[in-house]
Amino acid sequence: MIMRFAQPARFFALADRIAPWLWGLVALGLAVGLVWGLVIVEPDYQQGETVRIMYIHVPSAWMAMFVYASMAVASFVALVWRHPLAEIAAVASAPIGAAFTFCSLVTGSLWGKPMWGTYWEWDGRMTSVLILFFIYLAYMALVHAFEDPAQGRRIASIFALVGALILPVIKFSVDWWNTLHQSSSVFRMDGPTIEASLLWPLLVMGLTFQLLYFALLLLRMRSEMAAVRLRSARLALMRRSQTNEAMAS
Amino acid sequence: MTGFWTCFRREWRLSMRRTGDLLTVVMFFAITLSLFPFGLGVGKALLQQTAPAIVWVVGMLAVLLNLDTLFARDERSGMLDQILLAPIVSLEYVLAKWLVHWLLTALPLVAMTPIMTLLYFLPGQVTGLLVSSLLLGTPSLTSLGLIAASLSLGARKSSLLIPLIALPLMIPVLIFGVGAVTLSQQAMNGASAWYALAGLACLLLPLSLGTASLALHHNRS
Repeated sequence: MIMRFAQPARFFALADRIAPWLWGLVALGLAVGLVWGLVIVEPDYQQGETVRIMYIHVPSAWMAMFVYASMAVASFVALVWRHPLAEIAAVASAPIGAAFTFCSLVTGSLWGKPMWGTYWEWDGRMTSVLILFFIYLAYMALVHAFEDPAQGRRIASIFALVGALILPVIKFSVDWWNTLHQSSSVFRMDGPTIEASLLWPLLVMGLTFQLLYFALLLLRMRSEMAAVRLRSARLALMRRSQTNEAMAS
Repeated sequence: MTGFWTCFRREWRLSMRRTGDLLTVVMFFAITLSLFPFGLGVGKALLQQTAPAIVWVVGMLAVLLNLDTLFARDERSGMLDQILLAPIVSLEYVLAKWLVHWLLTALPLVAMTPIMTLLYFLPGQVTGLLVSSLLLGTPSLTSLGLIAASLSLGARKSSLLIPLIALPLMIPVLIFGVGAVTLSQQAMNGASAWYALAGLACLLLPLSLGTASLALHHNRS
């Protein structure tokens, strides 16, 4: 079953059928989640209106990590089984993940100014997210650094795996700094400590961001694949005109 | 192991013939370190306080300087293809590269450090801590440099790409390296930072050898 859809033509045929539904769900989720989170939820008694930033910030931060994890898995599949779609998926994910990471950094610092009194603090959580952002950038630079794009994708997938091994180390090492960022209040062993009326819109936004990632990923995979095909068609055309010239002379 | 010794001897000899390249790294280290007092001012307390971090960061940058030629020379001369075809395990070749880079690029910087810290009025005991942290930390820097060099081999701007790849990955080494010095200096319990530094060295050496030989094979296929 999986191998059937792993074939590029079948995969894109399926993707085309799913995409409109995916975008519809994203639009619905954004409409519900944004209105719920930004308008309906009561302002916090301490944080006031700024608490609403959480509805963008937390899902972005979740996605920043989730996208990297998917990139690492896709890179592993690409290296081990040499699957062309896995490589394309990893390369297509990187800018989306970098955008989510950037979004979580910016919203975090906008929230930090009124709440902590500073845009930036060298706190463990923020620093490790910043490093994650740098790793995304390095990955994207590496993908496009080679004359042969296929080689760039291959080499970048090795880097994605090294980054995946290093990230826990980075996370662990920066925890050495005294940490300002609050710890998780949603995914905990003893259940969420966040009030249910605040939690539900957050979960809606989290799910919406997840769907948004998949929708963008399908779109970007399609364009990456088109770029690959365009390039090989161009090469074939060049080769043919060269042989024609050689035959004519 | 004969493969390793052959590669090591060849690597050592080739590097010793290009002592100019090695001296450039040491000179970069010395000149850059003497720039900071100009910018920071010659306040003794400030220089003493910032010296460990500055020496570490400049050392990180210096180690990266001659990485772009690490595999590129062998690639250009066709040697790399020969080695990947020859009945040597590519890990041995990569290990020889690692060892020569550490011995001839990183170790001279560590040796220069006691002289350079005189510019920062650093007490002898702190200099000792700094040199020990560099001794324990530079193997990790070489490992990460090796990863960056092997991944960027054949890229268009490999000399620009190497710092971009290596520096974010080097951040934990920097944290624990400077942490080991400052914690021990303040008579706090710095043991965990030293353990972490040693642990990173043990983790990153095999990781870098595996990654580099994988990258070289993918690069030439």
